[in-house]
Amino acid sequence: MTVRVLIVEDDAKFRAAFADAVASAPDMQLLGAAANGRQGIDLLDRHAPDVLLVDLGLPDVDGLEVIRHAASTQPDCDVMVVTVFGDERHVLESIEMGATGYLLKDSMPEDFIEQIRLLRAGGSPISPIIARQLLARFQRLGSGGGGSRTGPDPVSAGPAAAVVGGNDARAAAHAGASAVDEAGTGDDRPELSERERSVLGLVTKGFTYDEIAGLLGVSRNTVTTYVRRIYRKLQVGSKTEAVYEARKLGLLRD
Amino acid sequence: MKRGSWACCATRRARASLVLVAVVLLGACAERPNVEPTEYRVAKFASLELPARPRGDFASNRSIRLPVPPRDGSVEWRPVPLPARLSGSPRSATGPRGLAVHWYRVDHPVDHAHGPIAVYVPRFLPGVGQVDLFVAGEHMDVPSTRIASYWNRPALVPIPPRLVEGRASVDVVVAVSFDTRTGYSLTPVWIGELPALQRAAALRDFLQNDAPEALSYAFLALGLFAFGFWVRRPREQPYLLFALATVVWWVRTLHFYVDAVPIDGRIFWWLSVISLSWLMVLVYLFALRFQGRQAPWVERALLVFVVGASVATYPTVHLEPALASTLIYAVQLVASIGVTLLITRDAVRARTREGLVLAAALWIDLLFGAYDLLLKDAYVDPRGVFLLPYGAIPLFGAFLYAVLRRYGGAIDDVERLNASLEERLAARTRELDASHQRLRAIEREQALTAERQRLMRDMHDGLGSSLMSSLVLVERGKLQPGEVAAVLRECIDDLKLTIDSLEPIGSDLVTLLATLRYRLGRRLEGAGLKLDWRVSDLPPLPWLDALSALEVLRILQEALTNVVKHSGARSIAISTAAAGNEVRVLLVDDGHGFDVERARRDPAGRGLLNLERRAAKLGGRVRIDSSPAGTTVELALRIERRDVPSSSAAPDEERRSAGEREAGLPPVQEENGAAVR
Repeated sequence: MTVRVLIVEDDAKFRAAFADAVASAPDMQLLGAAANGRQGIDLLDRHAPDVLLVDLGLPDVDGLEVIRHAASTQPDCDVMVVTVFGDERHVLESIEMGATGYLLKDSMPEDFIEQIRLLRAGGSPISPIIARQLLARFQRLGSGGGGSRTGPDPVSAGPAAAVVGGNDARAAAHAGASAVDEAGTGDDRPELSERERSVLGLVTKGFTYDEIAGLLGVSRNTVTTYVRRIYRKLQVGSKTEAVYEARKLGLLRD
Repeated sequence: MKRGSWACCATRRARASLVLVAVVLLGACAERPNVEPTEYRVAKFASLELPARPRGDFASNRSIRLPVPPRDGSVEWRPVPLPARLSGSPRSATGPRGLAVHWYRVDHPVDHAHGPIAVYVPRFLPGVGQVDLFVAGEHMDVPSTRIASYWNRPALVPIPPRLVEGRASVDVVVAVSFDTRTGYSLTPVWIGELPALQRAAALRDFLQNDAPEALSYAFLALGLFAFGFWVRRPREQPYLLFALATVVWWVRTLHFYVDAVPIDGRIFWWLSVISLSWLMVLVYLFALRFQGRQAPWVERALLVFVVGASVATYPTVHLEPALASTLIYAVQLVASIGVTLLITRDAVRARTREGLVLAAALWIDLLFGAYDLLLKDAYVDPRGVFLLPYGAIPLFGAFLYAVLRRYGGAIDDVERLNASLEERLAARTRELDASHQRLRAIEREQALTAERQRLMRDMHDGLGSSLMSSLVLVERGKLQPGEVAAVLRECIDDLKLTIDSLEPIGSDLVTLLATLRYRLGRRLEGAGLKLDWRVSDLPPLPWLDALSALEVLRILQEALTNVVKHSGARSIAISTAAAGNEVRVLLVDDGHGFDVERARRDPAGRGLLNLERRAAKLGGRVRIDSSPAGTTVELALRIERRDVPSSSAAPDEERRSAGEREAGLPPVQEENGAAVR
């Protein structure tokens, strides 16, 4: 089964390198390589790729906009953000928009093809720093403490919370409190499950997917699915958050 | 005033007449025309010296029984004009006492077509004396000849019809008995129909008694208010003086309208006289204090005067207070003029409006007082009204004006002060903001500089030197393509770690280790080294900022590189531990080991010394144990470091940016700076 790939990248050298790598992979098919966002959206609408590779720093349209478009019009398409090294903040934003994977531009070509395969197979990459930020983000979304299940003390909410240390524990306590406050609003805030938080916690500690699978007694596949689920939840969560904020501001009615 | 009041009386009479005419026309006895009462400005006069000391006393409530005026020709009646005025001499106040009776007789023609008639004596002003009325030789009971008020109450006496029945005229005698040391004055006598006289008497009563009474109570209420104010602000003495003045005024005014008092008449009289002195002193103290004038000798003199006068005039058998009053009033008048001059001069100099108003009020009251003194001692027409009771209006009016202006001025001042305070505060806030912003800018600048220096040093040491040495080798053709790639990878690793150190990790050493693995793990495994990852939770290191994080990364990177390059190890275990105030990172490999001491002495291999130097910089240490079975590198770091300012160590603060956090650090943190506890 061939993976159909669309590339949106304004840097000609990288575009060529990516295109070559995809073209030379036996199980992949290059649908096109757009040099800007508009062209990318156009190709996206016409071809419905399996995987979309998109750079964030596009000349005309914000890469995030391309991602949002892809996620809303083609939910089956896996979006992989291409980013420069150390740009974790943007990665998180991309995930909120619907991306499920990210790729560093300096990755080795063979590794990069492997990443696409993994992504298509349902796995998502994650770095310790992103995992850490995700944990913090979910706590902020009001699901962090998991307080309703594990008791009122968010510090003991699970390995994840414990891993990130005292400062985040305090943030978690705060988030936990606000979660209680907002419990009455009836919002369907996405929450991380115990397992998902464990996975994130172990990632922040530097364990690989294989090691995590071993530690949790599940398959590697399961671990990658967890990560994918977490990404989805972040996407939903950020939408919920937007709706919640809009309601608070009176822009939306219940 | 005098003329005005009489003009007023006249118009009232006229109006009353109109009403009366209307009533009469409508009434049953419409045939009777109205007749104006007659004012007798001429009377027949006769006098009698009383040789014996009479029973009774003018200054008490006991009336003196007077001889009946003779109706035969035994005395000679001669015409005299009314009002009659006889001035006594104050000098004679202590002299021997004599008593005389003066009779004023009018013969009133009786018009039988009209109703009941009455005699109306608007005022009799005695020094020490009494007035009685005889109609057709019969003594009439005059209702208001009691001690406290007979000098100030109009006397209206209805003539019983039986005394006029069958007569063409009736003789009315006003008998004035008085102490010959003093004088008296008597207004013209009115005889006529009762209602018209009643109205005239009522008006005079109102002007002389009721209005002063009402005023004194009104000011007493104001005084109560001022007193309440003073209780809350005891330092504002003028308010207390004002309150006391209203009380004294009330006492002073009592004798104008009270007919009977529960205390001895002579003491009451003394109180009435002397209270004016006290009032004067209070008013001048008020004025002086209010103008802020420091005049202790004036104040002392006033107090001496008032206390002395009070004592000197206290009723004794030796001195009639009613006689002494003229003397006291006169002295007081002189003293008042002096103090008022002083106050006026101050007010004019200070040009304060309230001071001028107060001075004007004082002058008005002086004039009133002078007039009253003349009226009292029969120097002016007795038909006048005493004015000093109305002196309260300008006086307390000026008090109020001054107090309100000062109070209002104080509020204005407070508001102005507040406004200027706010202004100054705003200005100061702006200044602070500006200097704060300058400081921030400088801090940012310093942070950027520090960051730039850090990156440059790092690039020079790591990336730069690797690239340079590789370049040299490549140029000499000594480097294989694979080796070039390896060097470049190392360089990229260096770069990654540098950038990673900028990421916010919240003082968490474990995340830092995880990042290191995430960056280098694949390459280590690519080099055939198996990673045994055994990290566990560690307490946060508050001091772990970007700079320190990079140092930690470099230490571990160098240790790992050594393992890869030199140890021949097949696996390496990385673990963490916390003990006391320390956290430890252990790297245990299964390589062939090396001689640590020799390696340290070897000038070519700076690696170990470098590790130790970097660790010392962080206030930590590196320990290396090596044996042929393998090598252990232990990096120990303190959890709390005293030398790190708390601002950069605030654990709550996610790194806003590495640069900003570095601003809180000492600019250079060299070896000796990394003091350990």
